[in-house]
Amino acid sequence: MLDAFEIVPNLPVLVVTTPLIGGILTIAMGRGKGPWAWATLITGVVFYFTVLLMQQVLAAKTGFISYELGNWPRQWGIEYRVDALNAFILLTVAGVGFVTTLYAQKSVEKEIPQDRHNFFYAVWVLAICGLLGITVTGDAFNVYVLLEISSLTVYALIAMGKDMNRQALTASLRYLILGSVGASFILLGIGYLMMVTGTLNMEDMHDRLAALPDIVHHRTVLVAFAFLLCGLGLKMALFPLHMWLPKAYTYAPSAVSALLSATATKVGIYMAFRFLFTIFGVGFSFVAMPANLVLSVAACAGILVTGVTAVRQTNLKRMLAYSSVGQLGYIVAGFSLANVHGVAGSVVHIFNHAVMKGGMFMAAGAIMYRLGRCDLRSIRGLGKRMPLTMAAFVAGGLGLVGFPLTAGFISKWYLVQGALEAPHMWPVAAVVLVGSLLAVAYTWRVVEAAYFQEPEGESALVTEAPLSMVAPMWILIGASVYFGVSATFTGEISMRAAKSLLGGAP
Amino acid sequence: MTAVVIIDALLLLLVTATAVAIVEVRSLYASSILTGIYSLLMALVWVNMHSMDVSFTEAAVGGGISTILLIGTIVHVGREEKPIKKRLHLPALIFTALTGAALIYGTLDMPRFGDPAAPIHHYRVPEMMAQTVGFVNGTPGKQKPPEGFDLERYRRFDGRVAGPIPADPKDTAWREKSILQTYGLMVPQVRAAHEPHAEEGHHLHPPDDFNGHVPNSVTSLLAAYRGYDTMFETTVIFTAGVSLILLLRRPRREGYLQPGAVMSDQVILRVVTKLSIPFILIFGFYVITHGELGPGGGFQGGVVLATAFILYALIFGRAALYRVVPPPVSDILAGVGVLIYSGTGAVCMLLGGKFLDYSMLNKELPGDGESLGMTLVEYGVGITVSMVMLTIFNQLAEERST
Repeated sequence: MLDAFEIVPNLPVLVVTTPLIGGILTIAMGRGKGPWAWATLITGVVFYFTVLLMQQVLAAKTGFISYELGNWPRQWGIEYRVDALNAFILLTVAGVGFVTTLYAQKSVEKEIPQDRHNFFYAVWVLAICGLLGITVTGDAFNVYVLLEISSLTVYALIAMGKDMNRQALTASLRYLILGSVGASFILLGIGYLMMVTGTLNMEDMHDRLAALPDIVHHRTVLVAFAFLLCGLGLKMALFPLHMWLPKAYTYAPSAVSALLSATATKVGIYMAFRFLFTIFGVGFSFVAMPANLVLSVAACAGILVTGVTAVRQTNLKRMLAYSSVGQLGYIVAGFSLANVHGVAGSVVHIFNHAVMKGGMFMAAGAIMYRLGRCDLRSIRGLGKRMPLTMAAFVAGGLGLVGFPLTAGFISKWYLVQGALEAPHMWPVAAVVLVGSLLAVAYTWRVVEAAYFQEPEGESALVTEAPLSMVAPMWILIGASVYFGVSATFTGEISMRAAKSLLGGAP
Repeated sequence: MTAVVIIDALLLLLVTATAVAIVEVRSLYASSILTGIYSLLMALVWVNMHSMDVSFTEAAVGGGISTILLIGTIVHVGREEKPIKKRLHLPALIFTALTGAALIYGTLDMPRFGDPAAPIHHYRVPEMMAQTVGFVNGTPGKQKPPEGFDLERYRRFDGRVAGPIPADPKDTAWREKSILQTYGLMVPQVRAAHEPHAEEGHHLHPPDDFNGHVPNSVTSLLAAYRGYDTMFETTVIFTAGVSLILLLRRPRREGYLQPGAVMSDQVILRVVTKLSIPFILIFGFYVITHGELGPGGGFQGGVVLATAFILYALIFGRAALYRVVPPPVSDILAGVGVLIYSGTGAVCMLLGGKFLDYSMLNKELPGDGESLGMTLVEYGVGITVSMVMLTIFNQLAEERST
């Protein structure tokens, strides 16, 4: 039966169906370490598949791989379409997903009741499945269906922080309400577009929209555009629609915060790429419509406001959450420039921020694991007690600042270059620099507390976090340093993705 | 003004009144019942639009099961809304008004309702309705075109036969051309798909993708062309159930069984329930099995099946229900449903086709393979939907007794 089956041609669908079937089977893995080991296996296999897929995409002559589900022609069925951009995002999501699953074991053991680890890891793997599914597809409605899965699972995962702090429940509910509003806007936008074009395939949609006479005055298209921008803004936590994010990341279980900060909002930004660049096209989104103005103003305001807010936080996780909103601002500011360097900066920062912030949330989680809390007061003198964890945090912080030889430097290099190339966009470059100074300020507060203050109370007695937490943390932080020193791979992929986005359909 | 328009106007008036009442009424119980009424009214609106499947889903899910679940929630949170001073939240009002205005503004350039020249009717859809997608492109593994079928003409037809969309949307000449070409092309095929063929007493399958097994084009759309979406919709339902268990289920050592009130001393209720349950079950299975003939399918049938169990639990108590379907069984079956669906897709892939290419299931008669695949996935959907609904109900009822 298996002689006709080959893995390589089916890679696009295997990336999503492996975690789907694997996630459901996680429930059957009983108690103890079974569910965790199974989830690690599944995410590991998926990561391997995304690596293979990346190779295939780079080798493909057309620059993309198309997979028609059920063998129906793409205009009638659903098409998976993988180009440099989504292969890169898939690699990021699956890679960080795998490493955070490795990390999760100890942290989840402590924070989630033992008797529901199987359900927890099932939802965890399904969340990764949803995020990968959004990224791999070339069908606008399929995006929405997978968005439902990723949203629903993420609400549940955040709410599981309830055993540490009851506020997790309200944080999750708030996200549920705002997330549902966002998803409704996205659905309405897709519906309006379908009504005008008669198709759901992204590329087909683009062609049909381009064929419409006088699209700039087509009222249905305009409303669809506005709705999609609103919905995507909520989903990617674009300032000022980020209200759900800080609390959600603060009260979620540590492993969940690490996973979400690195993947969930990134996939939101990926959706924005697809809708703004692939479906509407650069000409409509950024020339005919003022999306570049709206997005860059919101992004710059977000960088500054959340930067200042982050400096004033005392809880490490909350500080990181605000910093995330600011960092998402960089990504949005980058692609709102609509030139090659700006978009490439965005794409590369999606990856760079994922590894840096993922690593930093892991460090905060390790502190939580040892101390049960992670505020500035409790980490005093921790630089000596938990040297590896604190060093990881500081290395990640340097990346957020954009220090040379870290991945953050590469992203900011592209962003500033893009901002200076675009006409009248130099303020974006200025904001990027001011944002870096703010990052210096909040990272320094941690350095000061951890290295220059004497430990007090129980924090004087703690020891380094277990290896199973420190190792994954350093894999991500190490990646952020590695790709800061040698940015050939990430840089080339991002440039390629940017060029294909700006050239219209992938 | 036709009768349809009058009925629609009346229904929409009632829908609006119900919506306002849901917001205004203080009692949560009343507002739950009102949401049920809202859904039933909307179901009638869908009927008026001739979308029976949507209507059926709305009635079964919106009017039926979600009302039960809402009432289940009320048991926990209390019947009355907390008395708070109502004050005007100006930003919220402005935002809502703007959204509403945008929704209406967006409709101004929409094609008129039922306009046959609308893109959603003529772009790619005629092949879908006639279920001839598979051989339009002569895709390998799908049905061969019937004898004498002009494949070249079909390939050329991609919804753009009438030329580019004209600047003036009211260009009547173009509209007529478009309608004529679309439907003129379709007529022989539609006829071929719908006329029963008889030859030597055997049923001869019409030459289309599903060998004529799917007169309801909604089913072919949901279970085949976009079957991959439906698989994930089923996963959404499954995820909802798992998330609920993750968040709400109490540790097993405290026991599942917290029997609530039982109404089995009510003779009339007991007898009527016992009489209706077999019919509800048969209807549920019918809807799942024959979604391709009429409205319905796995989702609606699954919900109908779940109501039979819930009715049983309401009258005879959950202790009785747990003897029929113990919670571990419903947990497992909920997962099994999605696994049947994704497993069918995976088997098609392992047999050398694309994921969910049902025609792989029967290489001699690809059309029969497609029918088999669709039936399998409909059952997968039905099992998951009914068991998750049951799980949610159990969970809400269980917490009640604490």
